[in-house]
Parts: sequence; structure tokens; C-alpha cells
Amino acid sequence: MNEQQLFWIGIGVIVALWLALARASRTAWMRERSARQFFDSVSLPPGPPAIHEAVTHYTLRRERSGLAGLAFAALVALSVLLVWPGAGGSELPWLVLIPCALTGMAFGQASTALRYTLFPGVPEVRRVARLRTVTIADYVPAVHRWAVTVVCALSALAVLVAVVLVLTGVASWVDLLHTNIPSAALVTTLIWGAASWGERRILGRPQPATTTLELAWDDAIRSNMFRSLALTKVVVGLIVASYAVPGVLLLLTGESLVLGMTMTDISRLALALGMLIAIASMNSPSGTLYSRLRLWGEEDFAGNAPGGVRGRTAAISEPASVGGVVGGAR
Amino acid sequence: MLIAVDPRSAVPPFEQIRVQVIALVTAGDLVPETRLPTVRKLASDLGVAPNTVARAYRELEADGIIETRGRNGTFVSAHGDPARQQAQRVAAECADRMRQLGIPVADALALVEAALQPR
Repeated sequence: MNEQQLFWIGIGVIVALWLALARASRTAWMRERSARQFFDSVSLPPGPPAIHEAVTHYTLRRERSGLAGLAFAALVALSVLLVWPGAGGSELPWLVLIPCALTGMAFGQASTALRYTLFPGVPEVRRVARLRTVTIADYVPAVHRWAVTVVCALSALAVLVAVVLVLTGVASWVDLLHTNIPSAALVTTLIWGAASWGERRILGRPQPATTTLELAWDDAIRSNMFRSLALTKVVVGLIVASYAVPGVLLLLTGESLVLGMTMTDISRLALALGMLIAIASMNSPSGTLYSRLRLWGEEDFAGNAPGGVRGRTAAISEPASVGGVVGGAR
Repeated sequence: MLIAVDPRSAVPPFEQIRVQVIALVTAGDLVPETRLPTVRKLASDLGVAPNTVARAYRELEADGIIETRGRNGTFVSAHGDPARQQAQRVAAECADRMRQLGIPVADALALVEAALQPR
């Protein structure tokens, strides 16, 4: 283990300790403020205390799972490093730690969505459900879905070109292995596969809700989860692209300098810029409010009294009134 | 386009689902080619047995309101307004029966109008 690796492990341990201390020292007021910030970001009324309590409890549980996932991922990264000292070479923080941390946190949060529903499915109670299939397009804006596709295509293309270069004899397998492209491509394939599987599973999970507001809150929580998974895909894809594209150029030209900068410098700049744009874009109001506007439009959720339903909803007690469906939402 | 099912209602849950789907299609809220949730998903959302949703879907399909396309899922039928088509068929059958019974047109219309009044 070289000095740089030890330095980054030290940084990782300090950050983990800081996170654990920050988590342990959070007061009820801080937790409440954090929940309130989430309420404001999705533009939904907190509604009756039961909804407020359920959402607060769920977000805290998800946060705990995220931190557990982060710790697990850090352990995996450290294990990889100890078992395989050369892993990542001098690029350990980029290639191993950051994707592991992001993936661990997102998957930890996703595990909450896979195990628990926001509201309990109480039997023998009137339930509300959406009568159309929802897809990932209802939760993640097109620009973010396209970002995932573009980054994925770029990485796949670069990896393909690298393999073609080796197969045509332009470069050797040893050269290819030195670029870290194969390991990065393998890790990314696994992460993308797991994230896509998680998305499909979460979409298929039930959304038990007794009011439209409860369903809207469930949608908001899901949207947040899907954006987190999409961000993981983009960031991991960017990291692969930052290895694959300069790696391919290096294999092609044998030159490591472009316009006076090394390939690594250029790719790190592009990676940092891409990550900043992705994080800022996905956490912007257009990202956080997307599913709210797409699935619920101008719905104001008036009439969501505790345990009740909206005024426009007809009581389902007689055949003539069964037709009074819960309109408005999409 | 939401539906609600009340397990305490006198109306069976499958009928509640069926009637609400028809209402949404008739009102134009559920447009043709809209993909409906799977039987299992809708059943778990509404807290009813999968057989309940399956029965509602079967009856809606028999009425031509929805159609199942194998593994692609269940969609709102694209062949015009199925509820109106079904109503036209029922009206034609009713008219045939009235003629067989020898009921004058004016009386038949009065009878249908009376039957349509809310009870």
C-alpha cells in the first residue's frame, strides 16, 4: 500500500467518523428541520399528522440505510484494496472510493424502498390507486434519463473501441489492462445492472394509500429514490468515460499530452465538471418537482382531511355512485 | 386517473373497479392505448385479492373496454368508445325485445326513460 493510498484511506476514515458523529449528535429539532426541507422541496402539503409522521419516519429510516450502505461500500473498497493492493493504482479515490460511496448510499436507500412502503397497507380500509402503469419516465426528467443513456453509450463505445484496437493488433492486452478500462467497465456494468434491477423492483412495489395526498407523498419519495439511482448511474458512467476515453486515445496515439495537458488532467476536469452538473441538475427544482407536476399537475390536495378523501371523490357505497372516480390526477 | 375501492361497501370490489374504469374511459380520462397496471400491482395497491382485479379485467375485456396483449400488458381498447358501443348493443337488444312483446314505440321509450331515472 503506497503513501497516497494510505492518505485517502485516512481521509475516508475521518469522513466516516465525522458522518457518524454528525448523525449521533442530531437533535430532534435538526431532524425536524431536515424533514421540513424535504417537505418544501417536493411542494406537497404535510397534511394530517399521520402523513407528516410517516414521511419523517421513512426519510430517517432511509437515511440510516444510506449511511449503512455507505459504510458497507467503504468496507468493500478497503477489502478490495487490502486483497488487491494494486487496485486502482494511484487513482484509488476516483476509481474505487467515490463510486463505492455513491453506490453504497444509493443502494442502501433503495433497500428501504424495497423492504418498506411509506404507509402501512391497513386491511379493510378504503384505498386509492392509480389506474395506469407508471414508468421511470414519470419520476425522472427526460434530460436526466438521456444523460444516463449518453454517458452509458459513450462509455460502452470507448470500451468497444479499446477492445477493437486490441483485437486488430494496434495495442496489446497488457496496454489495455494498464488503462484500467476493463475493471472500470466491469464495475460499471454491475452497478448499472443492479440499479436498473432496483428501479424495476421499486416500480413494481405496492403503493398503499388511503388518500390522494398519501399517494402523492409516496410518489415524491419514489421520485427522490429514482433520482438518486440515476445520479449514481451518471456519476459511475462518467468515471468510466473519464478512464475509457483518454485510455483509448492513449492506445491510439501513444501520446499522453493534448494541448499541453495530460489526458488524466483533462479527463479529471471533465469528470469533476460532469459530476457537478449532474448533482446540481438532479437537485434543482425542475428535478425535484418533476414527478409532482407530471403525475399530479395543478392538484392542490384540498380536502385531504385526516383519514378522509378529496371532496370531488364520490362515496363508493351504491352502484350509481361507484362511477364517481377520483379524478384530477394523471 | 385514480380509483378507489371501499371494502366496507355493499358493492363487490370487482364491480367497484369495473364501474370506475368504465366511468374513466367514458369521461375520456383514460384514453385508448393507456396501459393499465398489472393485476398483481393494482391488487396490492388497492388491498384486494388478485382474483378480484383479474375478474374486473376479464369482464371489462369481455365488454371490449380493455384488451390484453399477452406479456405487453393490459391496455384501454383503441376501437372507438367501447362503453358507447356496448350501450348501443344493449339498446338494440332492448328494442328487439320490445318489438317482440308488441310494445308501441312511445310506450317503450317511456318505460326506458322511467328505468333510467335514479332510484
